[in-house]
Amino acid sequence: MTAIASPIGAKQTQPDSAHPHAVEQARCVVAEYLRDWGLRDPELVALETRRIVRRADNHLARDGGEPTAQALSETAIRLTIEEIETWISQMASQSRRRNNGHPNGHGSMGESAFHSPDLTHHRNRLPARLLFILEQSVSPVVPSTRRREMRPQPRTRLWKVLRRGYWRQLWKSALACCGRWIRSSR
Amino acid sequence: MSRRNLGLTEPRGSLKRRGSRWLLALLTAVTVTLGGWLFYNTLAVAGVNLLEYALLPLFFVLFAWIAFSFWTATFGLVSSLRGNCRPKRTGACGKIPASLSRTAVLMPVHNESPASVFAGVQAMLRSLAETGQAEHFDFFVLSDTTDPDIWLEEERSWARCVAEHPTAPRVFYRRRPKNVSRKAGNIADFCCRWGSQYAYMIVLDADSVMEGKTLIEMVRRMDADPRMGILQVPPTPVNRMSLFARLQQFAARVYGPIYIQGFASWAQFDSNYWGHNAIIRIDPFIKHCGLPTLPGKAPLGGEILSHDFVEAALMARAGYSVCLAQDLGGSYEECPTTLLDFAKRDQRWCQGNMQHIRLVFSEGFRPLSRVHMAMGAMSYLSAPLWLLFMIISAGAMLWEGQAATSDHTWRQGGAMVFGLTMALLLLPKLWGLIAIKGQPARVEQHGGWNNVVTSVLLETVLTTLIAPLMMVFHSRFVFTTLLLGEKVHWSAQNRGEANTDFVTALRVYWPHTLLGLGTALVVWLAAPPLLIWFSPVVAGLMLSIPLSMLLGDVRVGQKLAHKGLLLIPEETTTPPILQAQQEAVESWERAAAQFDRSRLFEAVLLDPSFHLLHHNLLRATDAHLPAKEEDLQPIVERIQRDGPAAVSAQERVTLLSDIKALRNLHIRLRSNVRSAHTALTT
Repeated sequence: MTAIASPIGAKQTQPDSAHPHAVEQARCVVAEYLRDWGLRDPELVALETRRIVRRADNHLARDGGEPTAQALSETAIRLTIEEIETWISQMASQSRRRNNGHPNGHGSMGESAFHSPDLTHHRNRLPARLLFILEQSVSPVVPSTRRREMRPQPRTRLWKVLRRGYWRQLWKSALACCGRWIRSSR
Repeated sequence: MSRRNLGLTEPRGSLKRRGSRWLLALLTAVTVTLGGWLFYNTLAVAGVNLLEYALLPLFFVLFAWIAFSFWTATFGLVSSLRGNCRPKRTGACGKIPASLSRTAVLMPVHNESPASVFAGVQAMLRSLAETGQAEHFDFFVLSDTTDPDIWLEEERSWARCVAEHPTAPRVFYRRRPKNVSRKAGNIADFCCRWGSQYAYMIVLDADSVMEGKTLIEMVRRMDADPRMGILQVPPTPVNRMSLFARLQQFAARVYGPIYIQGFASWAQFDSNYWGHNAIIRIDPFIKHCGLPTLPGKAPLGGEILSHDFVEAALMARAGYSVCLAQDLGGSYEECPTTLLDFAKRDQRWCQGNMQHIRLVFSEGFRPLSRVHMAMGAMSYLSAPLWLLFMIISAGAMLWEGQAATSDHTWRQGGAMVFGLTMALLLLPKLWGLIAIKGQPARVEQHGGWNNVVTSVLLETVLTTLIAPLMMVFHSRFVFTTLLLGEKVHWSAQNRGEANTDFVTALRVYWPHTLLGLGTALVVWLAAPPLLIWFSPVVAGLMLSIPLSMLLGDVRVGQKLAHKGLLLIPEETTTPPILQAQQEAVESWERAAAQFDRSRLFEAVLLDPSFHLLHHNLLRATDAHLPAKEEDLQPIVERIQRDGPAAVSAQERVTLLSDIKALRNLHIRLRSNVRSAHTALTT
């Protein structure tokens, strides 16, 4: 995840896009998105926003042409989601690893936050409870599937005397018997 | 496959149990013979006419039904007086073993209140945690919910639940995108996907709660007996306050134990499964209990609706015992609060039980399984038979004229038949009283001896008035199922407390009222002395509208509770699990109220965290159901143009089930919308 792999306050190495209106709009949208995720530090939001929008701009630039404001915003939001998903997955796996070391797992994330400066740093950015919930959603929601077939039992047949076929058969054999008897008596 | 084929032996005490069965059959036969003889002699006073001949078989069937029930209760009383059935408050049966088999606790839900469901789960988690054996259990909330708002509320509730319970037992959640085969299909889906990871599953209902110690004792008993396939713990109805619900709760607590004990005395190892509050051995269940599809079309053919009896029969056929843990407490459920809700539930059960008639006469089932299925069907068929009996008997008496009914011998004989019938119906209530009389602590829990007796009298009067109403309901259900082929729809059960208003009562019960008035008028015009015989039936029918309103009234139930009437032990001394459940319900409802459920769809479109939660749940549970582009396009356009409220519930489900479409829409909307309130932090 970019946010974990690269320091948040990394220096900008590339200039902003030449289409300032689109960039400005995308930044607003991403900033709001990050704020809805719980990021409150304005400086941090601004830095992350610039970085993500720049990534989106580069991404679109590879496709050629000048991107529209809508396309840039959408790409930026998509990248934000991807980064957050990766980040939460990493956090969840770190939590699980820690919990495996502590089978009782008392307040997994709460405890691990105190032992990991990195996690503490990120924890300050999102409400801990919300983060924990999302970690759960990427840790097993259900156990891994080991599929087994449950076949329906064969259809149960009615008792012989209640089957229409039985009586039909009986009637036919009775008729045949009568026919034979009549023929033999002639 | 027989028990012998599996290398299994008959359970201990089976000889004694067989003796009980023969004795029960003999006593029932003797009682029916006596009743039939009295009835025939009464009819013969003025000569038996054609209609009276038609009455005789009906009388025998109905009398056998109540005689069987009476002797079951009497067996229960005898057993109870001998000290065989003192239900333990919880499942504590000595030491808890160090190791228990892995067990999944399943809670199948279908459009239920998520707050109630997760409150029950939370109470059980806490109760299990107190036992120190929680690591052997996993909970599964298996959703078949079709309402999109409730679905999202379930996800939100699950998220809250796991946030509050990070330790064992784990709580898993999955929603099936397609509700194949209803509850049975829901359980089967669990078995196919995760069944191989657990030895047992404890199946609950959405309103079931079981104490941790009871859950552990169930597992312990299954571990101790490898031939036990299903262990059913009788659930006690609790938590409801309407008069009707409190009547059911009181009856279940006072008369229930003797019926259950009586049932156990002859059915123990060939018992039955009631669909919930039971533990099932998963491996034989997967191998032998896949439900067949019945030949023909619904309602009598097709998918089996009442799966529990059939699953028990299949398990027994495979050579495993189906047992009843009548001595275990700590097993609770909630009952319908109004007569109408009760009738609606019965309509579903009725159709399911009618399907069993075919299986009673099918090859391959054990005799006792046939008896259980026949009893299930008879509990509904008895209503139209009773109605038919009354119509024919009125006709027969009119045919005979007033001369016969004024005959002294006829009256004497009639009074004896009536007396015997009433004795069979009412004596089990007395047996219930006798059984608890010997337990002073229990009498106190019921509010003292005087209150118990008053409550029994009140319950008897009210159930006498209710009986003809249920007769009409059941007759209609049987008629519409068997003759008109009407199918019931799978809707969520109304589990809340709500009074029955006058308009609803009038709309539902006007046919009952008219029927009662009409019957009373005809009898009064034709043979006025007979009106007294018909009065218990016609009174209930004529009063059906005010009666249903009275029964559904929560205030009346509460007033009676304050006066110490219809009290159950769980009301006087609330068990910790029910207390925990109540507290959890309040807490969950408060949390649910913090975010308007109808706005959850909007939240999943706009709120990043809630969107991600939903997205992850779909992906993790393999519940992604891609929709066709031509179906999605108009939905997406309408949401963008008119907002989330502009799409129907079904359209919301379509969109919510498609990961890709939902993600794209989220991105598109968030590219324009500035901020959203989160649905998760509350």
